[in-house]
Amino acid sequence: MTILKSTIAALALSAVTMPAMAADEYKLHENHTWVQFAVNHAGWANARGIFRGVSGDIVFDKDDVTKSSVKVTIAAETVDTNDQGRDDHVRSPDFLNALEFPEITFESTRIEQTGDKTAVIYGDMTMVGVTREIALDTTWNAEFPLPWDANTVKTGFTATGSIDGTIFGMNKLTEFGLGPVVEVFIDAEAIKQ
Amino acid sequence: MLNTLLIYTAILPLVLGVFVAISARAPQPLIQVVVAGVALLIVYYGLEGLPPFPPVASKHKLFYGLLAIGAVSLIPRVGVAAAIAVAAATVIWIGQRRLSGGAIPPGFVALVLPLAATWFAARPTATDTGFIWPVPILVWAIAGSIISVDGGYIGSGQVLGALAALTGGALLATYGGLLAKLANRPGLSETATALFIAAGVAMLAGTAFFAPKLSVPAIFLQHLVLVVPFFAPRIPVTHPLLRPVAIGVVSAIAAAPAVLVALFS
Repeated sequence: MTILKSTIAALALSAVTMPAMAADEYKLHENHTWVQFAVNHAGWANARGIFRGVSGDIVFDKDDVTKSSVKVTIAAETVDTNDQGRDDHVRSPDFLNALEFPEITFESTRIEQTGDKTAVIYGDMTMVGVTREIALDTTWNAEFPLPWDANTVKTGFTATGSIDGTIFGMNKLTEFGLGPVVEVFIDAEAIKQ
Repeated sequence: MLNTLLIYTAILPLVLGVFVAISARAPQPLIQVVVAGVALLIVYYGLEGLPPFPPVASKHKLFYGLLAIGAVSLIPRVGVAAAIAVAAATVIWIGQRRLSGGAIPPGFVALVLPLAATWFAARPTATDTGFIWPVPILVWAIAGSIISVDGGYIGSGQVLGALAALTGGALLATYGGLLAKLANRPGLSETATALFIAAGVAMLAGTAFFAPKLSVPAIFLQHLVLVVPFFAPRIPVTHPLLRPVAIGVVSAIAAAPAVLVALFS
């Protein structure tokens, strides 16, 4: 009886003193994350590409989304524009400089909620050794357990943004008739930890 | 778009090269070194813009490397030796991020060869007509440009192509002067010639370290061209005015393996 009383008392105390655990941690599901981009090519069309090596962590506070955070790392050498020769050039110091700066990173600095399931994520993007703030219009799509594994919960987001490549020092964009504004399209699935 | 590429890669450097050759007539030989050094910086600016300071990426370091190589070339008596030392330091500085990771790209090792050639280019020879070194340098830079573009680094190919155009402009002015009997002195002094090779080595470092698909055999073979000046005075020609053409042909033959290996590997 004494043990039961003590346990109840401890639980009651912890309920009062512990903060609400609303923020959940997620890891990007790399095989189900698409970071794509489109850049105008001399007015003819939009050249498109995708990064195949993306990893990252999300802290998602559903009660107060402004307390959430995102950290993403992209392997620059994994760029794929559907043409090997063009990929080599995009990896060169003219653009991504993948051998000198292998990683492109994004780390959120603040989040503004704009709707029930939408927000603007502001953050520092570091690319080719230059860090600049960018904004991503983000929509939270859904969250539920995998149909075949109730213990694995997956959440999903869609985000879009525009990045002026010249602010990262990519002056060659205009010289080669590209952009310089690069549209970014992100679809990300993440596994709750 | 294409016009811009042509202007800054070929036309502007070609015109600047003519000015470099004309500056050989200045009373002070160092004036040509100043003009050549400024021309190199203008060429860089035209292609890459003004780099940030401190530099962020290797291609930004190239600008400051060229500035330093040009500046030390002006030092009396030891200018060429200093230019070689600064060019070597620039190469290491450019490749710093790869070298600090423990990698020694083979293309980096290949750069020792043209650095050594810089020393010989600055030694006046009795038979030097002003073409013995500059013509092979022109071909060497073209080969480097092709290797860079083929290796996926078009920007470095442009810079090396511009060096070729710069040298070509100086050669055209010199040759034109000879044909018109306006001048009988070389268009490029030994120090200016050495400056161009040292600058070319620094330019090539970007390709050696950061071209995504570099052909390593090609970047070694490219330097075969710089052997040509050692036997160029003995190339048999029927008229002295044909010597530059003959040197050009022999240089092109020497560069062919590098270009072919780059294109077909």
